[in-house]
Amino acid sequence: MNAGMTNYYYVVAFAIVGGVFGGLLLSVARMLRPRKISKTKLEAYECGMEPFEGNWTQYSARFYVFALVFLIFDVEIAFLYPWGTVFRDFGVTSLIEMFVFIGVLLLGLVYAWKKGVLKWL
Amino acid sequence: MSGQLLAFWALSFVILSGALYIVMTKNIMHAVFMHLLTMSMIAAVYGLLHADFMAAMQVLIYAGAVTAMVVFALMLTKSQSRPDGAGIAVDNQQRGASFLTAAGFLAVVIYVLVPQKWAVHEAAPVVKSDVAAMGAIIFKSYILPFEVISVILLAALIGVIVLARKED
Amino acid sequence: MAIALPFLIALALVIFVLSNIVFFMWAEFKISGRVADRFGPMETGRWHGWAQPLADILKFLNKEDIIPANADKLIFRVAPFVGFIPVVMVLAAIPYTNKIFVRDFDIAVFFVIALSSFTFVSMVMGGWASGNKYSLLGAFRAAGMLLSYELPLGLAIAGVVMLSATLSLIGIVQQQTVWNIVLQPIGFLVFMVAMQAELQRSPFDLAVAESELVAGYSVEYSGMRYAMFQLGEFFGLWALASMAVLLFLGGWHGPYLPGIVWFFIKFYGIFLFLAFSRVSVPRVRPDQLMDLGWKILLPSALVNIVITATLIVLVPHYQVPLAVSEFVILIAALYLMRRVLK
Repeated sequence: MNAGMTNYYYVVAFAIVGGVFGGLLLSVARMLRPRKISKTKLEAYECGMEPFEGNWTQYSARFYVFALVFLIFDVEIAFLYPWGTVFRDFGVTSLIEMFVFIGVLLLGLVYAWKKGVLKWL
Repeated sequence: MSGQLLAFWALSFVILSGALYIVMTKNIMHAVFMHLLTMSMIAAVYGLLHADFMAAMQVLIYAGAVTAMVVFALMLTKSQSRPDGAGIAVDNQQRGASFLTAAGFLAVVIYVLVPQKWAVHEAAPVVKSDVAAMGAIIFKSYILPFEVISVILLAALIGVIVLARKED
Repeated sequence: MAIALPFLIALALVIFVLSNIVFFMWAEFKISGRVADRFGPMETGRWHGWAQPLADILKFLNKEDIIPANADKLIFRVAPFVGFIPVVMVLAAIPYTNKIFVRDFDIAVFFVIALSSFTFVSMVMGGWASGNKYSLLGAFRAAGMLLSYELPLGLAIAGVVMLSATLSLIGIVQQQTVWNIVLQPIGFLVFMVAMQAELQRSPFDLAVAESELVAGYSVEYSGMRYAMFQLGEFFGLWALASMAVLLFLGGWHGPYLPGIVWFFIKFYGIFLFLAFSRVSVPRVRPDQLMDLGWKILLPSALVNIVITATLIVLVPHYQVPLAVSEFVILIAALYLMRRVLK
């Protein structure tokens, strides 16, 4: 393999070691623990009540809005990193460009704030 | 067969079978988690091409944000579409037409892609640090698409806020 | 041998981190105890309960593994690994001195940030696969919290990246003639707050301390599977505390002692701060949490970036104006915070 690949090889090796280590811990636990099956133990935990209605209820749209605002700012952060590496050499122009980018998205954040969408009831 | 080619074949197998599973499964949540795996494997393919920054960005945006969005969007649906597939109508009367359309599309793709000469060789790193290179390219040549991206994101943000507020 | 070397290094590093974690757990018990005017563990191991974490690990190994009947068995089993494996991968990117490191990634900082977005995925998988609607709800609330605090974390780090013009952690430490905490106090504070929220430590441990949601997403997990979630959290603590030391506290720079000693002194300093903050501040309400994340930390981090960028481009020797203006804005922000948070 050529020289540039060694970093990726290390990443994969670490991932494999992580997985194997976790598996090892679970195997040791499996050898040591008891196994007594009873029907009550297999029910879902609802603070002592009998569980009802399955596990699929409808949730409010609030979670989705947070996830979407997070996605948008995540993309912005992903663009901030290459800019942060090179903006020194490009003068005021790239500064203005990035400020326009941040400003537009900040406008969206302020709009979300004013419309009360960022409230977590 | 070098290690990189072997890795590429293995990753492609996982990606394609993952994509097939997403389309064919009846269990929505399994589809979401398989989507997560497929996107991570695509990030690994970017890694094979020495595009580290693209790989990390793919993981950050797809595994982090898009999975969140899809899971939360799924939770907004009613209990009729239960995870075990009960209640979803997975068949309608248009099997014949859809098969013909898909076959036609496949024919077009094969006609275009097969006669190409695909050069299969190992990618070598082009630049020392692709983050700096990418930054230079974006802010010198592609500044207009970059600003348009911000407007598109703003449009998406405002769209979601308007829609979510009406339901409350 | 070259093929097996990464695996051996990984194993050695994992075992090293685990032994440190055992020490962390004991230190945290003792600190929490002393702050509350009690002794903490004293019995296990005869001397101040040093064997308490080991006893806890043995306890986890002995618990029965109950998978509820409603659970999705495959994803129930996979969820702890999805949280654990990426955090082990992050260990590959962290340098301890400029001679002692695993690999020098060009995008080390971004690598760490990208992989820390997997914690929330493992929570949602665990919460959904438990087959219990309360754990699902707890998982969503925890996921909402984690998402809200990943943004300020990324932005605070972006400020440091702008100062150093490189994403490599070794490069960032080498560029710090003066510690970045002086040049970016806002960034440091945002990072510390967001770090505690990302690790779900008090005062931000809503996910597992709600009285109505019991243990949140991990309520159906018992024994070693639950311990793997906790181990993932501790490995994440190691990763983020190392990042704080490398990005803001000058890494391994320091006068007479060797670099590695300074690194661990600063590292344990951060850990001490986290342990104290855990027992000093009451838990925040969920709406206060979201307000803090979106309305205080995110704008502060953005203002930080704007100031840093402007001063770096326009002023040739930007260090002193940057430190001064950041300090002024910090005071103003702390004053405004009282008005917004009510």
